[in-house]
Amino acid sequence: MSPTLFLGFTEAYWSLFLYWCLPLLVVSVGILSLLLLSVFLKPSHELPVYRVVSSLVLLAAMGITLDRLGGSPNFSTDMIHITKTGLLFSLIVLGASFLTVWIVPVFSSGFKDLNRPELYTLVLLSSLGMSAMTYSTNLLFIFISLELASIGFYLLIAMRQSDFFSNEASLKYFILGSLASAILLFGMAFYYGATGSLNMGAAFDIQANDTRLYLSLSLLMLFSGFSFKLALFPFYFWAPDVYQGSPTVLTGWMASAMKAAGFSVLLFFFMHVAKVLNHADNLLLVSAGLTMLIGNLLALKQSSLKRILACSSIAHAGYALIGVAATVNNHTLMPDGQSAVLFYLLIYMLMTMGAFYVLSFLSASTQIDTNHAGRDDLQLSHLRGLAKRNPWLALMFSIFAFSLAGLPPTAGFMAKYTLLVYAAKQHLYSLVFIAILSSLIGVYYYLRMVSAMYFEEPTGYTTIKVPGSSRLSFYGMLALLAIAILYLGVFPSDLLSLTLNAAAH
Amino acid sequence: MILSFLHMMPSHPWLENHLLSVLIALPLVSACLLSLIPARATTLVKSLALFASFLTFLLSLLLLKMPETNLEGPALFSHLEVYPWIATWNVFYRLGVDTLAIAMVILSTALFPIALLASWRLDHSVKGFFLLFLLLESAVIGAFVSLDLVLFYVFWEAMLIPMFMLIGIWGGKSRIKTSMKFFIFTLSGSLLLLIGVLILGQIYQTFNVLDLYKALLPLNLQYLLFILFSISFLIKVPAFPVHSWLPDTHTEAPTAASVILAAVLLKLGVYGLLRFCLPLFGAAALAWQTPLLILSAIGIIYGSLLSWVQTDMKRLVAYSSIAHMGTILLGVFSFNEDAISGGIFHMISHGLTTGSLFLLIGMLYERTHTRELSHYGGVATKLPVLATAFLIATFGSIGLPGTNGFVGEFLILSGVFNTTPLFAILGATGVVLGAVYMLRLCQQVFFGAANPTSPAFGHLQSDLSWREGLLILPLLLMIILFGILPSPVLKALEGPVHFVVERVKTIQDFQVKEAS
Repeated sequence: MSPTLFLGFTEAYWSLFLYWCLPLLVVSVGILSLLLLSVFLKPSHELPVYRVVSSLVLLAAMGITLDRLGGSPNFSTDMIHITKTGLLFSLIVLGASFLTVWIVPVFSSGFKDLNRPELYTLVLLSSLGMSAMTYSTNLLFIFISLELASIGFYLLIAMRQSDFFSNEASLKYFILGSLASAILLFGMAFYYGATGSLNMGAAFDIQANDTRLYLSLSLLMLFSGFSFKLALFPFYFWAPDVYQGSPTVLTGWMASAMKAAGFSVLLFFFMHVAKVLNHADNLLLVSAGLTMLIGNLLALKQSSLKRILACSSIAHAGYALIGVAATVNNHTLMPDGQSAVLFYLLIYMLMTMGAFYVLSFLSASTQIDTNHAGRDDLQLSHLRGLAKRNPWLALMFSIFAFSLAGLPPTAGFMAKYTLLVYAAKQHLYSLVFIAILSSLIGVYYYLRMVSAMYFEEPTGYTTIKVPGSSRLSFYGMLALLAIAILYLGVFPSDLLSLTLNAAAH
Repeated sequence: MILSFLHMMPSHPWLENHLLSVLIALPLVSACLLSLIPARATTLVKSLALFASFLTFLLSLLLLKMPETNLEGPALFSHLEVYPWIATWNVFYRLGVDTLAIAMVILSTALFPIALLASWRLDHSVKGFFLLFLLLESAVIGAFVSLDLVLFYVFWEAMLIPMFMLIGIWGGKSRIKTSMKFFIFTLSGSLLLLIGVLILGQIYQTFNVLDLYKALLPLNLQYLLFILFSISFLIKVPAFPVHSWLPDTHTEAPTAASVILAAVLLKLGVYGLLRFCLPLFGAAALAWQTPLLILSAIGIIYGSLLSWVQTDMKRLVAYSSIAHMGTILLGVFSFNEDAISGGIFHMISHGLTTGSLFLLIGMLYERTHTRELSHYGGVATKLPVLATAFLIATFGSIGLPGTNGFVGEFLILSGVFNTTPLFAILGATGVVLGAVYMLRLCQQVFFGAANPTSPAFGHLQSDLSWREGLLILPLLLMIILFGILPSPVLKALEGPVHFVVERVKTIQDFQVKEAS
């Protein structure tokens, strides 16, 4: 007697599917309902309703994910493979998206062309794509999710139609991103050729030498494709331009959420192929070392704040890659490295979102004050004397800057220290040394921002006030982020054991 | 006498057991409270900060009340506190003090209220200044009392940010450049220390200093770790050739920050050497004794000579600090009990004398807004009290018998003479040169004829105010008291000094045994 089937699967399968994929389903339903809502809503009500609904959807998805983290994942099919690590990565994505949706009204009070309901739908769409990337070990599924996320990005970057740089950035990202996607697909084709499957698990069965060659080709191509998406060496050139052109309010989100999703895939992929391919870890070592150094060196000469943070995000991707290298080094998997990547990216998300909160806000208020041609590109000189113009903002920004620089007692230090501990455990002392050297270089430009805010006199700008009615929500969330950064810098233990626990499963 | 007074003080078991945490937390919590006060209420801000730092000082005096000896003989470390912090890495919140740490903590807590009182007339961003000072105090105390390497590192680096801000916001003309230089210079050392901590933790799976004191590390590892640790500490000291940040920083920093920098922060470097480098990597330190002694001697002579040609008073004292710290290093690296206790004693006396010199120069600067030697002359006739105070501090600095400077220098030199006579002779030239440059400073500023064309002329109307007198008097008293009565301090320091020397010997013997 065969069990009753629904769409070809058993009831038990469906109940597990519903249980584990509920966060993704919630976001999907949210997107569909946003699309439908516009039919029923008056245009004047659209924006607030969209904002509330998308915040709630993301919050619900986060809550469910947190709840699922308590159990032990037992749902694994050809397409979807639930792991605790993946769930935590998706939590980072959802968190970043929620923080972005929260801040959009403050930013769009300066840049009116962002006052469009599509923005929320697109943010949710990209979040869905990025979260889905963390739910699978199937390359095809990952590719489709990645494209879903990327399409949202292309549109969102071009959202400010009046701004030349916004359009330029979008086009640049689109063309280069398509190329990267093509390379990814090519790599997947090689992978299929080598293993006869698109699932990462299939790599374990490789024995023959000639198939191993195809597998390494596919590894190279996949790594290149993801290097582009994550702005790793040598595919980082687009990042400063695209970051500079895209609306500030979305930049931090793109940097941190995409990192979480991309690193999740990279981790899973390397964990699956590293046992079969001997040189996989060397690739990681070289890429990590050069990315850290180049990111920090590039930032030294920048004067645009968004370009500085873009270079810093390149460098941070390099740091996170240390964790991947520590996970797969010496052909034995070490879950600790995985937990370090998780811990690092979680904290990176918090501090980057914080820094971009301040920048979005400054950008918007400068726009209101000076009404200068709609550029959304703050220079280092805009920070001058910020401590006198708005002390709270300056304090918050310096907490985030010190955290990004990795100085105690902020969470940035603990995050970096975690990576270094596990790298040292794997005897990757060369990487430890490069990481230390590059963070010494990096400290200079973070200090330059703090020095501009506190040590220099303001030039011709008035006191900065939060535009509109969103003062409480803006300052409240900003303070929460800063407190989280300081708290995790002093008491990292709980979060650390959470990530370790997730990685050990 | 003081000790018997302390025994009469009411003791509270909870306070007794958590004294070190309280000392760290008190300035920190007060800083948080301070941030809630509106910035306009400057007097309230100043008073609260001063009160908090003074209370910290009073509480730190409780450390002098040593606990009873236990069965294993006198315990080296007291007031131990252990709580799990980051359990996955075996990192603990582990505090404890020996008499060396107690001396350093009390030196710090004593100087912080004085530095705050010295900044009473600060006129811009008052709240930030006092707040940062309290944060700095908390970090400094934390660094002196932590017995876990990671905890120590966190406190060690946490000192950088407040100091950076203090120089950058309230400093002199080229404060931005200087604060950057200070930060990058010291951070580069700290990061080497971080690598060292990582390696040590990786190999021994513990960051507990007390456990590591029992370990005998392989020689190669000792060499590596000694380099990583000692560069960091030598930058902080600062020793030749990594000293160049100090004169700039001193020249630009506000008076109070200069005082704390010279009197407390520099001591952390030597403290680090004594706490970590020698007892953990003694064989490496012994193997490199000669180069280290040469560097210290160069520091003494080079610092003195440069001090001789300075025309800026603060810069002069800053270079003299390099010379004095060189003398202390000479004592530390001679691995002789006399010399090391002399070195520690000289750390205290250098804190007192240089602290008071910076304070007095700050007072002169407040009146005249110049620190050029040539702008001054005949100050003694106009401000006799200030001049007297300055002379007492100078005597302490050049080591006149009867002042604390003499005790330290004499012990160091006689100790060094027993082991390496040549370096004792080189060190003694530093003492002579010290008299030369300090007396040149005094002669130029306080005696001779006033220069009527100088910008300082006519601004020297008022002698020390009661506030200025109050803050300088305790320092001068201690300079003389420690000069006449050094034995209680020296006796208290015997334990840790003996431990360090014995520990270096043990490590060395072990290496010899391994080799044979």
